[in-house]
Amino acid sequence: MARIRIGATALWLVGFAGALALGGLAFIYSGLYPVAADVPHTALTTWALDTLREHSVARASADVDVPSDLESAKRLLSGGPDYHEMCSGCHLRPGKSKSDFTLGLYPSPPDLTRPPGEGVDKVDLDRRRFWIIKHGIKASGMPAWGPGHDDERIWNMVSFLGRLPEMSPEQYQVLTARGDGEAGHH
Amino acid sequence: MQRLLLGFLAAIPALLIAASVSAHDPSEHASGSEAPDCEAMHGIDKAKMEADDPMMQALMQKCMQEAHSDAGGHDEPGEKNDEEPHDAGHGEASTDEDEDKHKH
Repeated sequence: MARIRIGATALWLVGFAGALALGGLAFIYSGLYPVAADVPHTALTTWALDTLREHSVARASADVDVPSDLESAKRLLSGGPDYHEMCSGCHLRPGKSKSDFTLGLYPSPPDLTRPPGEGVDKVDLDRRRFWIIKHGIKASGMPAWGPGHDDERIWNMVSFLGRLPEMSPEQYQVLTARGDGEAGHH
Repeated sequence: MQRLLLGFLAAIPALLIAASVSAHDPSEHASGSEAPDCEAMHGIDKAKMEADDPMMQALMQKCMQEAHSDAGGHDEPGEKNDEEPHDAGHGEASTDEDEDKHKH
């Protein structure tokens, strides 16, 4: 009698999983889900994607070695122009609060001129930034800069990001200008 | 329960779509050379500057480099050869007050 009951339960579970899979497939093909960037996700989808992204980046960047000279003047000078050319359009610069990209991209790119939240571990943050710059994030507008930029150059940008929130517009201009003899790389 | 199920079903295609979306083209971020505007740094309160701060060291190095470059017969201080190449291509919506500080 007990064996029959277990068998019926298993059958019901398999049927339910099958119906769920078929329903999901039908939903995907239906085209009902809005993919427009100006239509926000539902709260559940936002949670699922945010949680997926945060945990994936945390796991992938956990073993990244942070250089001991990350906060050097040399790295700031090298990372500034790259940040200005590659990142500031989306992640802004001192004295600027929005751009076409921050208004139009979904999810909106983080404003990196603002200081990170309290309690954020500096080393973890540097690791995460390095990994994100190098590998990018799917479906976010964040490209992988790794294919065209070596690790040192990416670390220079991470170094610059660490000081960006405290920069004035004037300091930013000086540190990001390539000046004579400094060729752009793109 | 039904709402939870619907949300879950919505999350599946969103995760799948994530794999196929391409980012903006890095080549759009091409730049020209721009001279550091060290004139603007003269107004900064020197008392707040720490000599061993890497950012201050970087600023000084950059401006000294620029001064040497000027002495060698290059551009005038603060002269800019190319204005915001990235912005020019995309037409920024911002009209923030500090915007013009970078454009002479």
